[in-house]
This record gives sequence, structure tokens and C-alpha cells, in this order.
Amino acid sequence: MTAVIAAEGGRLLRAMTYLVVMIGGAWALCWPSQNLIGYGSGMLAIAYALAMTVGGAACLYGSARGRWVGETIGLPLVVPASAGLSIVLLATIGESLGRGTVAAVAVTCTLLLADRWRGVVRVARLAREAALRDQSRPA
Amino acid sequence: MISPGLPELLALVLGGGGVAAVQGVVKAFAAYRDGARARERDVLTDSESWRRASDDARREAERDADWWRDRAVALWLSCSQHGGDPGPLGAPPDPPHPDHT
Repeated sequence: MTAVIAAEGGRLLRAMTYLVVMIGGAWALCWPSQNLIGYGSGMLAIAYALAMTVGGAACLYGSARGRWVGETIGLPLVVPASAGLSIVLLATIGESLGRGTVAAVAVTCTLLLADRWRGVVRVARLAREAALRDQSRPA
Repeated sequence: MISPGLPELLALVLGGGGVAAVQGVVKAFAAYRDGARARERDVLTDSESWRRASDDARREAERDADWWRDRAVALWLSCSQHGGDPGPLGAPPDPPHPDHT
């Protein structure tokens, strides 16, 4: 069913999403997230920024070309990075209750991206199975 | 205050993502080598046609069920109105669904 959703358009919207992800990653490279530095480490903040930038760029490439391969490689980087930020926001919600809204938005984005990842993996698997069936069919 | 285990958890999540990305590269390479690139659009088209076929089948099954229900009510009413004395119908049996057989 998710594969069908992939066929129902929204490529431009997805490309915009990944562009924002990439910009967010580049932004975090220039000005690292103080939350990640404070509750993790400087290295984690850089790793987060790199994952968002590289993953976002790969996804953007795939979306722009209309190929799943970009998202197959990029989403495994973007989803855990987004999940990491969500975890930090959720774990520190007690220190500032106002952080709850941002945490909820971050979790929502993570879950939506994870759903997309699942769909892309399914399309990739089906495409490979179809290709293998073609190969095994006698000419 | 830093929650205990939080930095380790973050490192684990990000590290897992890195491993998954490497796996994605390997799988994408293998899939392209097998010729999956040419089948991407077919897969999407097939999935959509399967979904449509499934929806059509479901609608037809619902129409069938409605028809038989109406027919049963009509027969029951006909019996009642023409002197018959139909007994209580009771609970309907389970439909012959593949999951139930």
C-alpha cells in the first residue's frame, strides 16, 4: 500500500522536504545544536549535522531524479538523526515544559520519515524481485 | 542535568543509522546490478493496479452480501405474509472466509 502512495505523486513536496532537511543539516554544521552538545557531545552534534546534510542531499537527489535509490541511502541517515534529536527533546522535557511542542513536532517528522523509509524499502525490494524473476525467465 | 545513558543512546541511534545507510548502498548496488532500475516504475504501476483490483473485488463482495441480505429479508417477509410461520433465524453462520477454514 505504501508503494501505491509513492506512485501518487508528491515528488515536488518530497524534494522540498529533503531540501529543508539538507539545509537544516548544513545549518547545524555551522551552528551546532546546543541541545545535542549539552545532552550528548560535540561529536554527536557534528555527526547529527553530517547525517542530516548527507542524507538530505541523497534523498533530494533521488526525489529530483524520481529514483528510489537516493532515499534508500539517505533515509537511513536522516531518520536516526531526526530520532536522536527527538530523543533528546523528549528526555529533557522535564526541564522545560514548553519543549513538549517542539518534541512532538520532531517525533511526528521522525515517524513520517520512517514511514517513507519503509515504503521505499518495499518498492526497492519489489523492483529487485521483479528483476530477478525476469532474469530467471527463459528467453 | 544529562540523563544517564542518553549520550550512549544517541551514539547508538546515529551509529545504527550509519550502518543502515551502508547496507542501503550495498543493497542499491546489488539491485541495480540485477537490473532493478528498469523495473521501478513497473512495480509502482503493478502495485496500483493490484490495489484497484483489490478495491473492486471488495466492493463487489459487499454488493453481493447486500443482495443476499435483501433477498433473505424478502423471503422471510414473504413467508410471514403468506401464512408461513418461519422460526427464529438465530445467529448467522460464519461466512466461508479463507481465514476461517
